[in-house]
Amino acid sequence: MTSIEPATSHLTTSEIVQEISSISDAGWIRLRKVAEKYSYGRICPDDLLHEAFLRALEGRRKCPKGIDVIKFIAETMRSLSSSKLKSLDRKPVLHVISTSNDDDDPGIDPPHHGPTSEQAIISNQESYEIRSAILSLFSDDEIAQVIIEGDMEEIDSKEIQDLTGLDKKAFASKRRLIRRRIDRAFPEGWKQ
Amino acid sequence: MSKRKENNQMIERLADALVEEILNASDEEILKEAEEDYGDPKQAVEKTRAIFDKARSLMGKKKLQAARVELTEQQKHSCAIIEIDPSVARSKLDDILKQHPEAGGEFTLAARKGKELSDEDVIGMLEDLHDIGLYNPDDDQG
Repeated sequence: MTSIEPATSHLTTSEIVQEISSISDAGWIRLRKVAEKYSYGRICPDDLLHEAFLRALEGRRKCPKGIDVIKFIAETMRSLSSSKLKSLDRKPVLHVISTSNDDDDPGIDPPHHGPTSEQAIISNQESYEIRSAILSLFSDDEIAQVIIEGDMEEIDSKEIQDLTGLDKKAFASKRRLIRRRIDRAFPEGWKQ
Repeated sequence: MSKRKENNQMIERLADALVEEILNASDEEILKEAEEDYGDPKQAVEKTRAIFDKARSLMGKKKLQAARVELTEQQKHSCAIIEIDPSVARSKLDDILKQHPEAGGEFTLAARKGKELSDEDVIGMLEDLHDIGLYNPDDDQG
């Protein structure tokens, strides 16, 4: 064994560099598209991808051996952007503020935690607008709307397929049509 | 569940489904789409690869910076005893061994046997005491 790094169930830094460096052209395009999807119009896709690479390289996110590195980076982006959305979703924290008239009472300077109510409302409004815009893209296609609403409600793919009455091939084809129409309507992530 | 949370979660779930579709598409489909979406697929590939190169370069810089900090710390400690008057060093050694007899070990044994210590021996012993934190040359200054 020539490597001085200990054998683990995760890729070492040099292995992850090697894996990422050997990604094919189609793989790089996939990562770009995934970054756009997980940007939600609130994060720059390039920044999201950069942060995912950095975490993988620094070992803050460990890639299990045998896992496709593209799927691993995609999952890292998902996790990063989900945290970002959740941080925008946090409810404001309530603090007790003294009403004493005592001059010696220093009172309380409430700490600032996460987003303001205004930011949370804006985040919600943006998601609502994206959702409405997507559904209106398919106002002429009831089956596509069922699939999209099923995905949004986290209904199992097989169940959605049963609801639409499509066979496996037609269902896959419809899914592709949905994604491509969304891609064209939102060319830079979820920005219209 | 609040409406606010619901809207964000719905978008997250839809993104998951779309991403799954991207990951399952064939290479040919993805490259064909890239032509439609980005015009020049090669340019899109290079732009994406450049993001990785930038992250790799940043990690290299961080590692280099950490190594520099570590080296500076090591130099601070290892280069501390360079210039000291031998008579001052002997006096310092005596003081420390009186204050910390437990640290004497073989030093005091050598002394007990009447062996005369050379200047180099004394300096070496002070360096050993410095390594275990009982002597700091900075204390001699000022």
